[in-house]
Parts: sequence; C-alpha cells; structure tokens
Amino acid sequence: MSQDAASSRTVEHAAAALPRHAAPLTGTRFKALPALLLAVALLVLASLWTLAAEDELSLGRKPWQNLQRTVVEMSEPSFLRVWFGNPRLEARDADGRVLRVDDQRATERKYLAGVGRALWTTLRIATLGTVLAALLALPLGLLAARNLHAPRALSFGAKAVLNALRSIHTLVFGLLFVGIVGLGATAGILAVAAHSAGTLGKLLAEAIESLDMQPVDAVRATGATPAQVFFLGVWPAVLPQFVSQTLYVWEFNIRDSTILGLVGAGGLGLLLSEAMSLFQWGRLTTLLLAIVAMVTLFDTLSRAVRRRLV
Amino acid sequence: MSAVMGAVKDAVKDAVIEARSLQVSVGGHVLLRDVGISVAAGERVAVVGHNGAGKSSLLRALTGFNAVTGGSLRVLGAELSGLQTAPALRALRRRVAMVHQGLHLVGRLSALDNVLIGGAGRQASALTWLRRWPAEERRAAQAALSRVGLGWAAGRRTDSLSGGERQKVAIARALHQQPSLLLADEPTASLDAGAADEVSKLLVEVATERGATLVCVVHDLDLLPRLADRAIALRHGAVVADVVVTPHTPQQLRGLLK
Repeated sequence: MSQDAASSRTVEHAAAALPRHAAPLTGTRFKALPALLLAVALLVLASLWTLAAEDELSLGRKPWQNLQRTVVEMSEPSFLRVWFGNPRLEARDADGRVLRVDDQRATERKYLAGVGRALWTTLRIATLGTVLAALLALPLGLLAARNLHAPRALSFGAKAVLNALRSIHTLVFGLLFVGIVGLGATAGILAVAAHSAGTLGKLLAEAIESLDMQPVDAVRATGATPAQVFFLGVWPAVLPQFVSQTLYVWEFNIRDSTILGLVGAGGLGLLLSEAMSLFQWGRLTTLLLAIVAMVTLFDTLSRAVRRRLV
Repeated sequence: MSAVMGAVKDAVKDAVIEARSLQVSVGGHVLLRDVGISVAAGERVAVVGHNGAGKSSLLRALTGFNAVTGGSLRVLGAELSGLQTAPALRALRRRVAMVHQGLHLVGRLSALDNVLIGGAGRQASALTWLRRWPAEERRAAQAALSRVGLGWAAGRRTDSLSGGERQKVAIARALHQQPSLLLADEPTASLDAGAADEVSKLLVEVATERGATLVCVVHDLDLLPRLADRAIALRHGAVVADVVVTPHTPQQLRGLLK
C-alpha cells in the first residue's frame, strides 16, 4: 500500500521533470482510441455472427414487395378525406343492394377530432409526468450529489434508486402502473414520472457536482448554516440548469407519451395500436404526421426557452 | 448575549491570532510546519511567499477550512486545534470575514444579494433561504455597497460586473459581516494596477473603520507599504521572516524569497 503510494509519487516527480509538451498522457491517449475501435469491431462481428447462427438475420420472404405495399398504403393519409372523401360512400351486398351509406368526410372529421383529443391527453400526460418527476428528482439528486456530503447510506440509497428508475423504460413502467392503477392517463403520468425522475435526478446530481465550489465555500465562510449555504450558494447556481434539464426531459416525454397508449396508459398510442391492428394504414399516416408535428412544435418551443435561461 | 460580549472583550485583550508550532497537513502533505505567529488586535499583517508556500493554507486554517494537525491555533479566543463542533465553528466564522481572489461571488445573484449573504451568520431564519432579509439588514447591505462606491450596482448581477467591481462587492460583503478579523487572499491578483490600488485602499480603510485586524495574502510586494504595517514571509510552509514594513521591505523580501 505505502509502497504503491511511494512509487506513484516518484512517477509524479518524473512527470513533473518532463517538459510540458512531452506529457506522457498523449501516449496512452493514442492507444485508447484503437483499442476502443477494436472492441467495437469485435462486438459488432460477434453480434452479427451469433444472430446469423440463430437464423435471426433475415429480412423476411418478400421485403421489397412488402416495403412497396406499405409505402403505397401509407401514402394516402386519411385526413385528406375530410376534404376529398366521398360524402356518399355506398356499401352494397353481392346483389347490389345498398346496405349502408357512409359520409367519409364526416367520419374522418370525427376521427381527426379524436386524434386532437388524444394529442391533448398525450401532452397532459407528458407535462404532469415531468412535473412529478422534477419533484421526485429534487431530493434524490441532492442526496446523490457527492459534494453536498449527505450521510453515506442515504446518498448510496438515492443513487441506487436513481439508477434503477433510469434503467427501466417508460413503457415497462406503463405496463406496471396499468396493472396497479388500471387503464388510462394516470398510469401514463406515473410511468413518465418514474422513469424521468431517474434521469432528472442524475442530471441534477451531476450539475451540482460540476458546480464551482468557491462561491459555495465563501458563503460557508460567513458562518452560514448548512441550509443557508445550500439556498444562498448552491441553489441559485443550479436552478437554471435544473429548469433547462427539466424542459429537455419534457421534450423527451412528449415523444415517449405518444407510445404509452400501446400498453393502455392513455393518449395517442391507443389510436396507433388500433390503426395498426385494423390495417388502416392511411390513419396510421395521419397519426404519425400528427406526432411529428407536435414533437417538432414543442422541441422548437422548449429549445427557444432553454436558450434564454443561461 | 453577555457571553458573546464577554468573548469579544477577551478577544480584544488577547491576541487576535495566536499560533504555536502550528502544523497543518492535508492528505499526507505538510502545508504548514512549526508556525508561530501572534497578531494583536488592530494590526495589519501581510502574508507573502511564493506559490505553494502555505499562504492560503494559513488563511484556510484560520477559518477552520483546513484542520489543525499539530500545535495550537487560537483565533478570536476560539481554540481551533482539536475537534470543533459545527456551531462553534460557525460562531467563529461569523466574526471572521474573508475576501478571496475573484470568482467567489454567487454569479447569478445581484450585488446586493451577495452583500446580504455577509449577514447570514447572524440571521439564521429560514426566510433567508428565500433571500428575504429584515429591512435593517437590507439597509446595512445597501450602505456597505455605497461605502465601496457601488451603490448604483445593487440590482446588477455580479457576473455582469468587472473584476474590480466584483472585488469591491466582496469587500462590501465582508464589511456587511461586521467582522473583528478581516482576511484577504490575494484580493488584487486578477486586477490591473489601477483597480488593484483602489481595492487595497478600500481594504485598509474598511479594516480601520471597523477597528478590525487585517490579514492579507499579498502577491505584489510593491503593494506592501500601502496594505500592511507588518509582513510575514512563508517558505515551504514555514515562517522565514516576520518584519515591520518600511519602504524598503519589498526590496528586502524580494531578496529573501529569491
């Protein structure tokens, strides 16, 4: 142990004796990159090899035809029928008798209104979930930040909880919470909150750990209590970062919430799974366009706000 | 209350700083060895020496940020060797103000908010967490800012001020703390000559007005005669000179520290 320390000190002295431009670090850095590339290449080859051996690497029987068909079927977004649909679409039986007359325009108008409501639900799930996540992340992030010196057991516990939350996907949490609180938006909100609390807590802890501690020590040097040191020295410095990160996670959550309905946790996903299981490709296109529009809108919005926060 | 007054009286009688064969080491590195210093109330002491000579370590030891690992150290009547309870340490820090070299203000807060932090030691109320201070604290902080010539900058964020202005805000914060001992760690290090002059002048004036003892780490030896009436030179963590400052002192110390 002491021998180790002694030898490392000699190494330090040797390094100090070298001129600065001949820092020995550059040598190791040059070796690190090829090693990394080699490791990645090996992993890629191993993955390809084993998957091929398990016969999992196939594109199906007629990938090209399938692609063409999907493209053709999806190339006619259903929402266009609101304007161009047949107002008197007649369904006849084999004898040519009219069974039913359908106003395509009215039907699609109703469907589009449903899409609007689902978008609104998705937005609400993402927003409430993110707010809840921020509230959960605050105490956990503070406990996990090493430089705030929380009691070791608490700090370790908080870090473990954050890692667990972060590593479980929102969709998995969705399944869990649907089982607990039933189908609907509540499950979605809780799922979003649970996963994002992990992300936000870790980001907060890292923001605090990378904080310049000199002003914080200066506050401590005035004889301030630990709470005062936190609120007067730490909090003003990390608040803008925390708000910015919360907005960023909110962006993510708007994207994530669009598929939560797939597991019955409310929002747009429900319509997605419905359209896919009924092979209504035109409606699927409508839904995907709606998602792209909403996500782009809120990404732009949140980015504009975040830029003004620094 | 009377206990505090008693402590203050004792401190005036005693030496403000009394170090006997003080040793400070951090992580196995000895930063200060066998330091013996006695500073009386009202003295103005400059601490000089090369980088790594232990100047900052000495200041950090005086406020309990570096633990005393050998010998004894008394500051304002408080024993710093041995274990310190957190409340005792806070009580001492309340009476010792510190002006650092740049970058020690909370950048996103206004100048006034930074100055108000100087009063944190005496105002422990939870309202201060939300930066809500009693009216008399706000008045005193505003007065301190005006004293250093920055009354106009009260509402300005400190990261929008110049280096010299920030250092004056730091002095105002120290002034607002109403300290018995004023410590400064190379307060002029990052300033140009004009600003350095102004800041040193302010430091001395503030210390004199408060009747506070001034201990200042000085890098630019030419500032010595203006700042201090006594100079302590450190080298490799030990005191190598402890002299009365005369106009010739910068020259002598330069020779000694070469």
